[in-house]
Amino acid sequence: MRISITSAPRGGVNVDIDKDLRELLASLAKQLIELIDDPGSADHPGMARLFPPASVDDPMEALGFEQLMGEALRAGKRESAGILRATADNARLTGEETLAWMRCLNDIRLVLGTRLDVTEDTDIESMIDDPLTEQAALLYLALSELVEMLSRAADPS
Amino acid sequence: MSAPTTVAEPEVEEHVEPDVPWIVIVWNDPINLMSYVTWVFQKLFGYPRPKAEQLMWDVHTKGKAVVADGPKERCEAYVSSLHGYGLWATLQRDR
Repeated sequence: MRISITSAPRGGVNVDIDKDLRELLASLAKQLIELIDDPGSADHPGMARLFPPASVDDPMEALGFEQLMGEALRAGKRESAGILRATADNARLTGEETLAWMRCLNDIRLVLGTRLDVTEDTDIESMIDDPLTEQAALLYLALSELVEMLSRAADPS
Repeated sequence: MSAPTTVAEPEVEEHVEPDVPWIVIVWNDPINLMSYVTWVFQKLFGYPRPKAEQLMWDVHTKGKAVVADGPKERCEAYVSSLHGYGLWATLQRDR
């Protein structure tokens, strides 16, 4: 799979990837929005990873944070996914678009990694050898490479 | 990739109340990439790359690291930003 991401001015990047992958990323971003907006997804493990409790030992603190910040967080993730969908075919991304791609692709990795039950000891390569997990593991690796390359190419300053 | 040349101060630095200390903790997780976590620390806190990398290594090797402190409102804003980036962050009183 061809993945090349290089630095562009003002925090942006040049994205050189296959059209098939662009279509896949746009589709995944759409699915992420659907997951976030689905009232039935409250117990989805991926949602718990996207919106973790803000306190480890104080449920009231965590609840207060959710009431204070929850809607803005959901809106932010929706917005990033929307920007990725709208710019999925672009050869160059602005700094703002690059930021949205990084956030959204990382969110998709979090949901997928949770589904694959990824731990510190997980050997993704071995999942590729298993027909049951092959496709998801390949996708996870591709997303990892994209986020890695974006993190290297995009200027955070 | 070069280190940023300027270091942005947190926006509400002047409102720190030493008598109500809260801290923001980022926890290690098996999914977020080291390069991405380092990038987020640079972007969000304005840390130079070496400091962001050191924080990332603290998270990775010790399981967690304190990445910010200050009044509760500021810590909540940081936790919200970190969750926006997909990092696993919590806040608590510094005791």
